[in-house]
Amino acid sequence: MIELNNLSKEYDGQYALDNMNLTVNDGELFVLVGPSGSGKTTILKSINRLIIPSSGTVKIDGEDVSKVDLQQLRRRIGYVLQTGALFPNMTIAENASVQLDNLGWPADKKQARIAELMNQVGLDPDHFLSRMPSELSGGESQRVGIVRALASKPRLVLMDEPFSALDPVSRRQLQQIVIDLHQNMDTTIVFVTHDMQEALRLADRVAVIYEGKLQQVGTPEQILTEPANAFVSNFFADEQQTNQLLGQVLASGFGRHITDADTGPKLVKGQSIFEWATALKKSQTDQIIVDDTVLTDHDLIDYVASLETEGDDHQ
Amino acid sequence: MTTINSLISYIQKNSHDLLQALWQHISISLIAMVITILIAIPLAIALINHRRLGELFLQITGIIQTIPSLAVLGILIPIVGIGTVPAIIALVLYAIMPVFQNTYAGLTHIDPVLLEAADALGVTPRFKLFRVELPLAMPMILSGIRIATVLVIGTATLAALIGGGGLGTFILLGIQTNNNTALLVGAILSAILALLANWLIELLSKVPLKRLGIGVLVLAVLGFGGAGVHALLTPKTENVTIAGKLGGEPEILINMYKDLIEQDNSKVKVTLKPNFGGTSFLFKGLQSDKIDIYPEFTGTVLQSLVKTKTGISRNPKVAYKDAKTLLRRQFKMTYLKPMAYQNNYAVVVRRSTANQYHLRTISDLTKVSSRFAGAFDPDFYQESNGYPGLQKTYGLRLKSARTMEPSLRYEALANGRVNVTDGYTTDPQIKEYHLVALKDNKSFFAIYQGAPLMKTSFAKAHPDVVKRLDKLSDKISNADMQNMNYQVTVKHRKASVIARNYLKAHHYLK
Repeated sequence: MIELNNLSKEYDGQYALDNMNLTVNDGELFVLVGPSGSGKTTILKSINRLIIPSSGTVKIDGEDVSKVDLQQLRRRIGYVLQTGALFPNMTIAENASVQLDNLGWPADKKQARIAELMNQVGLDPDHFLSRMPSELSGGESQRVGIVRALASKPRLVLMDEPFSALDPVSRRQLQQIVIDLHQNMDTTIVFVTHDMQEALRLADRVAVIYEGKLQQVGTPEQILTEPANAFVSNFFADEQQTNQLLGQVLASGFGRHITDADTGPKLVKGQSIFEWATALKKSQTDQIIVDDTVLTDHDLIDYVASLETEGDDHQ
Repeated sequence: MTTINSLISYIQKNSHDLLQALWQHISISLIAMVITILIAIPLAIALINHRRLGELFLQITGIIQTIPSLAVLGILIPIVGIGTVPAIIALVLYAIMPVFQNTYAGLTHIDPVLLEAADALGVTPRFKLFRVELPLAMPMILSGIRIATVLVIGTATLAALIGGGGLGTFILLGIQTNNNTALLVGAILSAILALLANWLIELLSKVPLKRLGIGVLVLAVLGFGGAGVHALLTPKTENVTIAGKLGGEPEILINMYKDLIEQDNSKVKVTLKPNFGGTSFLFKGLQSDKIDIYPEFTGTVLQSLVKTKTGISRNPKVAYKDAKTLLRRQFKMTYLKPMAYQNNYAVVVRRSTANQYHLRTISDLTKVSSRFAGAFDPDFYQESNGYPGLQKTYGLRLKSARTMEPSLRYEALANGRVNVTDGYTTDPQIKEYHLVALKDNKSFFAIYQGAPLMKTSFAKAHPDVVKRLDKLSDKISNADMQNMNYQVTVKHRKASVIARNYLKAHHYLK
C-alpha cells in the first residue's frame, strides 16, 4: 500500500503539488491523469524520491521512504520512463538486467528471468538480447524498458508517461501488454499519463490531478458517470460521448453474476464496447466475462440503445 | 638543399641515435600522457557535481595553455631543475586542459533521461560511473586524449632544450650546427609519430572498454616485467653523466671525456647529454647533481659564474688559477687543468686581405683600418669588451661598422661585402672560408680556455676519472680544435667519430 500524506512540493513559491492525500492499494493498476504541469509526475517521482517533497510523507507498506536507504528502496521499485531510456552502450540483455546486476543475481537465474519477460512482452530473446538499443524501434525499446522494470519482480512499478512518444498502433499494443502483465502478476503499478483514453483503458482506479490538487479518485466508470467537478467532466467529455467502457456498462446495471458453466472471452472494465463487439465476433460466442459478471450480446444491443436515449436527454 | 638521398643516408648513419631519441621521445610523451590522464580524468569526475569549481578549473587550465611552452620550461628550471622531469611536468601542464575539458564536457552532457533511469533503478555509484557515465562520455574523453597526445608529441621536441632528450635533440642539433638534414629528420619523425599516435588512439577508441582495459593491463605488466628483467640482467655499473653546451665543439669534447673514462673500465658507464643548454642550465645541473661533469671556459667562469674582486686577468695561467680558486671557495667545485686551445673573441679578415696588407696583429690592422668596412655581432658591437673596447685600446678606426646576424657575418666577409668581422678563434668558418684571426697583441680579449668542471665531492670520490681527464691538460691546439669543429659543423661528421679519431691519432686511446 502506498500512502501520500499532506504531500506538497514548492518551486519558487509555486505549488507543483498542494497538500496531496492519496492511497494506492496493493495490486492496483493506479493511473494518475491530468494535463501537462498538473503535478502528476511530481507525485510519481516523490514515491521513489527522484523528487524530494517540500512537506508531507510518502509511505510504502507503512514505511516512510525518506527514512530508508535510497538505493535499496529504488532497487525494489520498477521504473519505466517516457522513452525507453535504454543505455546506448549496453546490449539489450545488459540493459534489461541492470537492477538484477545491482541486486547481485547469479547469471543463470538472471538470464532465465530476462528471457521469460522478453517472451511475455513479445520480443524473441534469441533475436534481441545481443542487440544494441540503436537497432530497436521505439516500441521495441519501450518493451525492453518494461522488461527492465519488471525483472527484479518488484512489488511496485512506476511508469512515467511510458507510451506518450509512440505511434497509436504501438501504443495500443503496449497498453495491452501492461494489462496482461498486470493481470498475471501481483504487482502494484502507478501509471502517469495525460491521455484520458489511456487512463480509462488501463486503470483499476484513476486519480485526476489538476494544478497540483487532487480532483477525483475513482474507478473509470465512477469518473465517467459521476464526475466530481466541472474540470473532471470537461476533461473526460469527449470520452463520454465517443467511447463507452465496459465499466460504464456494468455501472448501468447490465449483466448477471457468473456461474461455473459460463465461458467466453475475458475483458476488463477499461475496455470499450467496441472491443466487446470485436471479441464477440472473433470468438463466435454470444457472451463475454468482465470480472465476475457475464455480458451477453443482448446486453450490448440494449446498452447501445440506452445511449440513444441518453443522447436525447442531452439535447 | 637537402635532398631525399641525404635524408636517407643521414638516417642510415645515425640509426642508433635516432632510435634512441625516438624511444626517448615516445617514453617522455607516454609518461606525460599517463600522468595527465591520471590527473585530469579523476579530477573531472570529482568535479561533475561541483559545477562552479569545474568551471573555475577549466579557466585555470585554459590560462596555463596560453603560456608559451618555452616560458613554462623557464619557470620550472629553478624549481625542479633540468632534464626529463621538468620536461614531463611542462608537457603534463599542457595536456591537462584538453583531457580535462573533454572529460568534463563529456560527463556533464549526458542525456539527463539516462541519468534519471540509472538513479531510478537504484544502481550503485560505481555502476553509474563505470557502466553509464564513463562509457557514454568515452568518445569525448578519447578525443581529448587524442588532441593532448598530438600536442604532447609536438611539444616534447622542446624537451631537448633542457636536456630531456628526444627527437628535439636532432632539431636542436640541426639549428646549432646549421645541419638542415638533422633538423628535417627530427621534425619529420616527430610529425610522423604524432600522426601514428593519433591514428592508433582512433583505432583503440573502437575497441570495447573492457578489452581495452585488459590490453592496457597486459601491456603494463609486460613493460614493467621487461624493465625489471632488464635491470636485473644489466651488471651494476656506476653512471657518470657528462653534459655539454649547445654546439659542435662541446659535443666533441664530451665524447673525448667519455672515451677516456670508459677505456679499459667496465665499472663506469658514461651518459652523454650533448646540446644540453646554455651556461646557466649546465651550472645549475651540476649544482643539483643532475650532471656530474661539463666542460667550461675560464673566461665564462670569471665573467658569469664566480664573483671576482680583482678583475679578469689576460694571462691564461693566472685566469685559470683565479677561476679554479674562486670555484672551489664559492661553489665547492673542482676545475681541472685546461686544454691548450683558446676560444677567444677574435678580429677576423680574409687571408687575401691579410697577405695584401701584411696583417698579423690587430695593431697591424689599426694602421690601415680606415679603408675597411666592418660587420659585427650585435653584442660584440655594443659591449665594452667588444668593438668599443677595441677602438679604445687599439685606436681601431674603421671606415664603417654595422651589426649583423652572427650566422651571416662570415659569409658577408667571404663574399667581400665587408672586410672585417668578429669571431671566435676556433670557429670552423675561419678554415672553411680561408680567413685569418688576427693576433690580439695587446691582450685585450679575455682568455677562454676549456677544462672539465665538477663538484669537489665528485672529484674526491672519483680520483680515477680525474686522472683520465687530466690527460687532455694543455693538449689540443687552436688549429686542432678548429679542424675538428670544421669536420662536425661544416662537414656534418659525427662528433663521436671525430673525437675518437683525434684521441687515437694522438695515442690517448689504444
